[in-house]
Amino acid sequence: TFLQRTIESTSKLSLPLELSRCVKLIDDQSQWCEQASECLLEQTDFLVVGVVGLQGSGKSTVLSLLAGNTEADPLRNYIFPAQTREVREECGHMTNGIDIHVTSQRVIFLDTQPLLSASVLDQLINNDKKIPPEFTTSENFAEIQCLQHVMFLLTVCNVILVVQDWFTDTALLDFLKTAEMLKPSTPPSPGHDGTSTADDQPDFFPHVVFLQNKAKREDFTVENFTAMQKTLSTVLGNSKLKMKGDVAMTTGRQSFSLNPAFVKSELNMFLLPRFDANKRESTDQLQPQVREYQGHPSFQTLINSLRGQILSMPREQQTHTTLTEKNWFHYAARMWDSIKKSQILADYNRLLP
Amino acid sequence: MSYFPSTGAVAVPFPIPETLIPEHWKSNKVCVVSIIGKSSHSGFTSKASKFNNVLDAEAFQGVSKELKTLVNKGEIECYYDGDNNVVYLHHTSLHDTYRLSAVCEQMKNASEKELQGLWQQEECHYAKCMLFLFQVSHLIVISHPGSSFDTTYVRLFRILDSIRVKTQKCVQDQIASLGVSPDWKYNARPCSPRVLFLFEMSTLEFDSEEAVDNSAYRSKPQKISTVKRLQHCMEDQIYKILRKSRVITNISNNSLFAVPANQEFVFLHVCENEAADPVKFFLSQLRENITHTVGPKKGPSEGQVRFKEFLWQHIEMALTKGFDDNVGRHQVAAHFELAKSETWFNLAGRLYAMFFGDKVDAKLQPHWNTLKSLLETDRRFSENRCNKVLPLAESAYQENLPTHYVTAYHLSKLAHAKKVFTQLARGPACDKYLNQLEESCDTFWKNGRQLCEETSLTGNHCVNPLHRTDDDIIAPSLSHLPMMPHSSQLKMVAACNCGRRIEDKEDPFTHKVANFDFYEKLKETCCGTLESYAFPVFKPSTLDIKAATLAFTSPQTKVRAPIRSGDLEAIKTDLTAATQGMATLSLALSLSQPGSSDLFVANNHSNCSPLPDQDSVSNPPDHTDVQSPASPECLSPARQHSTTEYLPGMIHTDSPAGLLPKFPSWSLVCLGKSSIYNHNQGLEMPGFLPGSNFLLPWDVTVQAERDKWPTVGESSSKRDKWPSVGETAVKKGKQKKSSRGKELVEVSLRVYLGEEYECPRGHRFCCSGPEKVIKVSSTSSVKDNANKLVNLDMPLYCPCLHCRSSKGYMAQMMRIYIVTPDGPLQVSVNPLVQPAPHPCPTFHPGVGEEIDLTPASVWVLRLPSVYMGDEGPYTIPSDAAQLPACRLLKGTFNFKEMTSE
Repeated sequence: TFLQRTIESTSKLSLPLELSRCVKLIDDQSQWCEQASECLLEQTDFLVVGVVGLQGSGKSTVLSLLAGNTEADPLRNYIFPAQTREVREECGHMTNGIDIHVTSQRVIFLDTQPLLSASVLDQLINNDKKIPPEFTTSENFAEIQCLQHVMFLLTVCNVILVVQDWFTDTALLDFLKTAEMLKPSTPPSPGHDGTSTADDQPDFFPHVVFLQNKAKREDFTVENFTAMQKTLSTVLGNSKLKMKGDVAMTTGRQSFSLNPAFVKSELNMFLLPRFDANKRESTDQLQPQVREYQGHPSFQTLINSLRGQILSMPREQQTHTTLTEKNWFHYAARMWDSIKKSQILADYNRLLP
Repeated sequence: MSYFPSTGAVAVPFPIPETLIPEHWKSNKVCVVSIIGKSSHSGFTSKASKFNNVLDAEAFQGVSKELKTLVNKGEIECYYDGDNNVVYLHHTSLHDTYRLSAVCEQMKNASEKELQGLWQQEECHYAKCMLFLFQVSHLIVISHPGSSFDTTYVRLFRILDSIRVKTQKCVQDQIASLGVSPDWKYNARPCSPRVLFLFEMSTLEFDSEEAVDNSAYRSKPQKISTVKRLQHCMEDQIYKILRKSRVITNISNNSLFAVPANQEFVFLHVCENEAADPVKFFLSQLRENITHTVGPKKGPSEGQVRFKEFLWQHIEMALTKGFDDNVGRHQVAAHFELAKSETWFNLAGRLYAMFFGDKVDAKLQPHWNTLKSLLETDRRFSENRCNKVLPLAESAYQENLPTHYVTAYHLSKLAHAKKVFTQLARGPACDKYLNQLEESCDTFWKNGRQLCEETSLTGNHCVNPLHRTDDDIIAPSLSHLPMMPHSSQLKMVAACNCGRRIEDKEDPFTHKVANFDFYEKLKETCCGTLESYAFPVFKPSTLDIKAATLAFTSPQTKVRAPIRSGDLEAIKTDLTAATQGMATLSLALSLSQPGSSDLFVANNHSNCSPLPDQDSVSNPPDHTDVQSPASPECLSPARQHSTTEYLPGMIHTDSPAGLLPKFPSWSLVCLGKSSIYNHNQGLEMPGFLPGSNFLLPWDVTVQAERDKWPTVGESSSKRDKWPSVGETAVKKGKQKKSSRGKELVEVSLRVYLGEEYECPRGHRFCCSGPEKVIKVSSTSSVKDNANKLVNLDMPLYCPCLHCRSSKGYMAQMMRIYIVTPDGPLQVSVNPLVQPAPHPCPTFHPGVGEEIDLTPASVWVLRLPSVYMGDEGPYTIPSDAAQLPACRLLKGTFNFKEMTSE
C-alpha cells in the first residue's frame, strides 16, 4: 500500500500530459471524446479560445500559430492540421467536429469544422444514412450541426475568433446572430435555495474577435479599416456578444497607418496578411535591392501582437461558480449534451424551409 | 461601338427607357447574361468588373466614393453590347459589401433596429431580384468572393423555385401580349437559364511549395493541372449538392436553372486581379522600370483571357444553338429562345414593373408573403418563441397580485415579468413582444386594479381603488370612477381646538381637513361657544374666485433667502437695516424685484415684523417697548388683501403678500376666567399622560400703582397654598414714586404657560423644555418654571413617552396654553413655527403682529396639525438628527405693561 500511495502522490504532482498535437473533443459523429481530460488540471486560471469561420479561411492555421507554432514550422507539424495540398485540390475541409489543445500557459484552444461548408455538405450527401429523419434536407442537417458547434463555442469559450478571408460574408454574420439567439442560457448556480440565485445573474456571453485573414494591402488603409469596423458593429449592433475594447490593431508598434489618431472605433478587429507572401518574397532573388511595398507590418509582428492581446484577454467565469479546468471539461460535456438535445434548436429546425 | 449611345460606354441602371435603345439594334436577337452573388469589400472593382475585359470597355465601374451614391440608386446595372448581341445585367445588393458598408455609414446615428428592418426588407427584395433575373436571363454567373461554394444558396434556390412555379401564371398573363413564342409564354421564361459559378479566390493560388503551373491554362490533355483538378472537384461537389436538394433536375425545364453536363461551369480566378489594387499595380510597374527588366509587354493577364474564353463558349452557344442541359433518358426537348432586343427590353421592363412596381398585383401579393415568410426563419422562430413565452411572463406579473396596487408596485411587477420574458424569449421579435407585455400588464392594471395614488399628509397611501373625490373637477376620463373620499384607514386620536374633547381623526389628505374641518366639526359639540380670535381669512368679493398661482422667480428667492433661512442673525441684520434705512432697502428690493411693487415689500416686512421681538423676549427687562425695532412703515402695513384670489396653502414667510387662505389653520380660544385653572390639579382634560398636565409658572415683574394692584403677599397669606391664578404672585420690595406722584411698586405677576404635545394616538403631555416631559407624581407638585419655554426654541416634535416602546410615535406640539394674570400686564403671543430643517419657510398665523390676550383668562392656541408648504406638507423628518431643527421659534410669549390710562 505504501508503494501505491507513493505512486498516487507522484502522479498528482507530475505535470499533466502535454501533447504536441490537438486531440478530438467532439468527433464527426457529434460524440463527446474524453481523452483531452488528461491534459487538464485542477486549477482555475485558464482561458478558452475558440475559432469559427468558413471553409478554407485559415482557422486551423491561425489557431496553431496562436497556440505556439511559428511561421517557420513546416505545415505538417502544426498543432491543428491545416488543409493539405491534396485536400485543397479537392476543395475539401480538414477539421471535422471540434479539436482541442491545451498549452502550458493554460490556454485551451478549440478548432471547429468549417461553417456552411460545401465539402461538409458533400460528405453528408455521400453518407446519406447518417441524416436523422427529423431533418428534411441534408443542408438543414448541416446547418443545424454548424449551429450546434457555434452554440457550444458561445457557451464554453472566453474568446471566439471569427476568421474570414474576405470581407464580409453576410451569411456568416447572420449565422452568428442565429447561433447567439439559440444559445442555451447559462445554467443557474446550484444554490441551496435553487430559484433565487439565478434570477439576477446575467447570461454569459463570450468576447468575439473578428480576424480578417489574408488581408490585402488596401485593407490596412484607415478608410477601409474604419468602414469594415463600422459595418460589423452596425450589422451586429443588437448582439450581446462582447465585441469591443479587447483587441486592437492600433496599439503598440504595429500602428503604421492605422494610428489611434485616425481610427476611432474600438471593435475587436484584427487584420492578418497572407503569411506565405513573406516567404515567397524572400525567395524572390531577381530584385533583392528593391523590396516590394506591402503597406502593412510583417506577418510575424502582427501575429505576435495578436497572440499577446488574445492571451491577455480577461479570463471571465463562464458559469456562476468558479470552474477548474477539469470542471470546465465536465461542464462543457454537459452543455454539449444539452445543446444536442436542445428543444429550442429542434423548434428552429422545424421552421427551416 | 457597343453601348447605349446616349449614355456613353458605361452601364446604366435598369430598367432602361426604350428611347435609349438604338433603332438599328432593335431587331437583333440578344443573349442575356446576368451576374449575381456577393462581393468583397473593395474600393476599385465590383463583381461585374470581370466583364470589362470581355467587353474591352470600362462598362462596369468600380465603387470609389463618388460612385457609391450613384451605384446605390439602382440594384441592377445594364449594359448592352450591341455588336455582339449580348445584354449584361449586374445585380447588386446588401450582399455586396460596399453597399452594406455604405448603408452602415449612412446609419451613423440611427438605431440598429432600423438596420434590422432594412435587412428584412432587403432580403425579400434580393430574392425577388434573383427571381426576376432567373426569368429573363439565358446565362447567370454567380460570383463567389471566397474559394468554395456558398451553401446558403441551396435553400434560396429551393425557395425561389417554389415561388417561380407559383408566380408562373401571373408572369404568363403579363407577357401574353408581347411578341414571344407560345413556349416562352407557357414557361414564362426564355429558357431554363444556365448557371456558371465564379470563384474569386482559390486555396491553391498562393501555395508556396509549388508555384502555380501556368501551363495549366493551355490545353495539355495528357496532364490535368491541379487547378483543373480542383475545378472539376468543385463542379462535382456543386452538382451533387444541387442535385441532391433537387434544385437541378434531369429535365431542365422543370427546374430553376441548369448546369451544363459536358461543359465547364466553374471558373477559378487564380491570378490576382490588377484592377483590384491599382497602387500595387503601379508600384510593380515602377519596380520593373527601375530594374530595367526587359520582358515581353504584358497583355491582359492569363486569368482574364481565360475568363473571356470561359464565358464566351457559353454565350456563343446561346447565340447559336441554344442550351440543352437535359440529362438522362427522357428526351424532352429543352426550351430555349432568343428574343429581339426590343422585345426583350420591353418584356423585362414589364416584368420589372410587375415585380417591383408600386402597385402590387393582388394575385402576386400572397406569393410575395410566402416568399417573405420562407426567408425569415429567424424571425418566425423568434415570433413563435415570444408568443409562447408571453403568457408565462404575463402570469408572472399576475402572480400574487393584491386586488389594487399603486404605480410603483405595478412597475416592480412589470420589471419582474420582463425579466422572466427576456430570460426565455429569443431573437429579433423580443422588443415587439416586450412592448406587448408592457401594454397588456398596463391594461390589466388599469382595468380596475389601480389603487388611489394619493398619499395622506402623514405619508400614508389611500387604500381605496382609484376613485374620484368631491373636490375633483369631473373630467370625462374620470367619470366612470366611483366617488369616494380618500382614506388610508388609519385612525388617529386628536383633541379639539380647546383641548377638552377627544375624537377620532381620519388620516387627513388635505390640509383643510387636517387643520380646519376636523376642528370645525368638533366646535359643534365642544368649543363653539367659546370666545375665539378671528384669524384673517380670504373674503371673496365675487363668485369667480380661484387659487393664486404661486410662482417664485429666482431673484426674489435670492433676496428673501436670509429671511426664509430662519437664521436669526441674518434676519436681525436685515431688519436692523430695515429700521435704520428702510428707504435704501426697499429701493434695493424693488430694483431686484422688477415685477413687484413697493407695497409688496412693505407687506413682506410687515408679515415678519414680529420676528425681532425674540430679542426683546429673551431680555424682557431691557426691552419694555416691544414694538420699537419695527419701523413706522411696518407698523402701518398697507394691507390690501386680494378678494378674488386666495392663497392655496398656508401663510408663511414665503407666501406672497396680499393673499389669504380660505380658512384659518390656527385657532385661539379663550377657555374662560383664569380661575378655572388650578395649579394643583393642572389641566383637567382627557388624554393627558398622568402627571404631565401641568402648566408652568412664568413670573413677570411690572411696575404698577400700589393701590390698584394688590400684591400677592397681601391677598393670600398662607404660603402652603398656591396663589390663585390671576392674582399677583410676588411683590418685590423696591418701590418708587411715579412722575405723577402716585406710588409705583414693582409687581411680580405670574403667568402660566404650557406647551402641549399630542401623539397620533391621542396621548398628550406638556413639556418644560426641549424633550423634557413634565412628570409630576401624585404626591408632589410642579417644580419647573416656564423660562425654557420662553427663552428657548421648542422642538415641534417630541417622542411620545407612552408610545415609545411600540412603534415610536412622535408627538407634535399642538396646543399652547396661556393663563394670563389679572394685572397691568398685556400678554401676547406670536407663534412662529419652522416645521422642517433649512430651507423651509417660517409659518405664522398671518396676523402680522402679536396677538394680545385679555388678562385673567385661560387662552388656548391650537397650532396647525399639518404645515403645508408650497411643494407639499412638511412631515416629520425621518432622520432623527433633523428633529431639533423643526421648532417653535423662541419669542412666542411677550408681555408689556399696561398703562392705566
